[in-house]
Amino acid sequence: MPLLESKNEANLKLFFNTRQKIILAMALIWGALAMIFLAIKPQVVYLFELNDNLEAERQTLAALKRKVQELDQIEFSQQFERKEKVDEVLPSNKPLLELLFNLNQAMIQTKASVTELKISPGKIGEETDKPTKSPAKEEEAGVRSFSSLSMDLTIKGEADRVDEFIELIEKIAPFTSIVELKLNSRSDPDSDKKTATAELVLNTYYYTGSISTSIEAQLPSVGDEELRVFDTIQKFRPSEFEPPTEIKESDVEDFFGIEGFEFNLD
Amino acid sequence: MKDINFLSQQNRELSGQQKKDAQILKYATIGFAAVAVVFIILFGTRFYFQYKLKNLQTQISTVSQQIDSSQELEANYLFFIDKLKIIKQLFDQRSNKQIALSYFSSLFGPEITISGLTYNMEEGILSLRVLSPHVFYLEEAFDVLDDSNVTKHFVTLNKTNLSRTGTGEYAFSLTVTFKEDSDLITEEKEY
Repeated sequence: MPLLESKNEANLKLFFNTRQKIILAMALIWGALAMIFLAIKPQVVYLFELNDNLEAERQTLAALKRKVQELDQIEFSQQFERKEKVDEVLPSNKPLLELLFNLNQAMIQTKASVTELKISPGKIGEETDKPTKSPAKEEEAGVRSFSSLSMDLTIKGEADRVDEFIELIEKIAPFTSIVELKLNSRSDPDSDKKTATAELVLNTYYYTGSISTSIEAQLPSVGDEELRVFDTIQKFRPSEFEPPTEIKESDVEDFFGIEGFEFNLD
Repeated sequence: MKDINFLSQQNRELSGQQKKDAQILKYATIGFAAVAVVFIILFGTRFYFQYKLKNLQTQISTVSQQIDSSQELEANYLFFIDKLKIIKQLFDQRSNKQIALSYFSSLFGPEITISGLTYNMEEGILSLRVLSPHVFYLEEAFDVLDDSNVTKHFVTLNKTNLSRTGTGEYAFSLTVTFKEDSDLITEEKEY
């Protein structure tokens, strides 16, 4: 055995025998460093991610619990209990029969008579408010969620009665607005009474929107103005219209069968 | 005979070195133990966080199911609110017409009548057909309409189609569009 090799081996053995503690200390230091970079650091990063997730989930849970509370409150909300009035004022179907029925009621109340009525309802009886369940999204700008049914109407009667009818027609359900009006009044030579003829174009509105929502989406709140609107429509003339649920007879000339009106199909 | 220890110097140095080694080992052990404790704490925290996350996810799932079971109620409420907002919008659009009618009726006085109207609800453009029994009231009406206290409420106020009817009355069309910030609109709402 060469002398140099045996000397190195002897030195190494001597080092291991006399410096065991520093070797152990170095091993511990390397072990600690390895633990810091290989175990603790990734753990800390993962813990931060977990904490962020926890915070997000906490917020989601809080929002969902709030929504459950709101849903519970809605059931007992005074406004929501009377939501039928809102459906009556802005129905989700083309409100042809309701409009005709309520027009007749207004005629009876004001004693004005309708001499001519023109309407082109198109397709009727389509329900529009079917909910869709998808992620909430902003309503596209410019998309209207209501439509209107136009009706030409000529009414005659005493001037006061005609005025009363014109005033009443905007306070009936469904929501109706006069968009055109021609008024002719003249004094009746046989009596002191003033008679009037009014040609009206009415727009009656109905709801055509659809709603998209998600589980997390918060419920919208009712603002002060909407509450005042709600109170105002409570004063609208109540409709006694009962929608027909069965075909009473077939082979009829008048498809609408609304009391006070007779229809001829052109 | 006197003993000579040739390694005494070396032994002294080695002994001093071993003492330093023992001290370094002590600090290294403490350091390693501290790192191990931190690791154990972090590992424990990780399990705790994972447990809490799972717990939260279970709660979210339960509450979501609860909301899902109220889907119909929620949909009805959303339609209710949406309809209320539309009715408010319709009221706002319609109110311009009613405000303008009552405003001009009171402005013109009882002699001048409004015999017709056309209203574009979307654009807010209102056309009125105004009848005056004779030319003096007509001039008064024109003067009133040119007054700055009247014109300040409107973006446009146009008088057109002046004519004389068979019965001797004077008729003209008045087309107006309200300013959005007009006092008349903000003060007189239908609701």
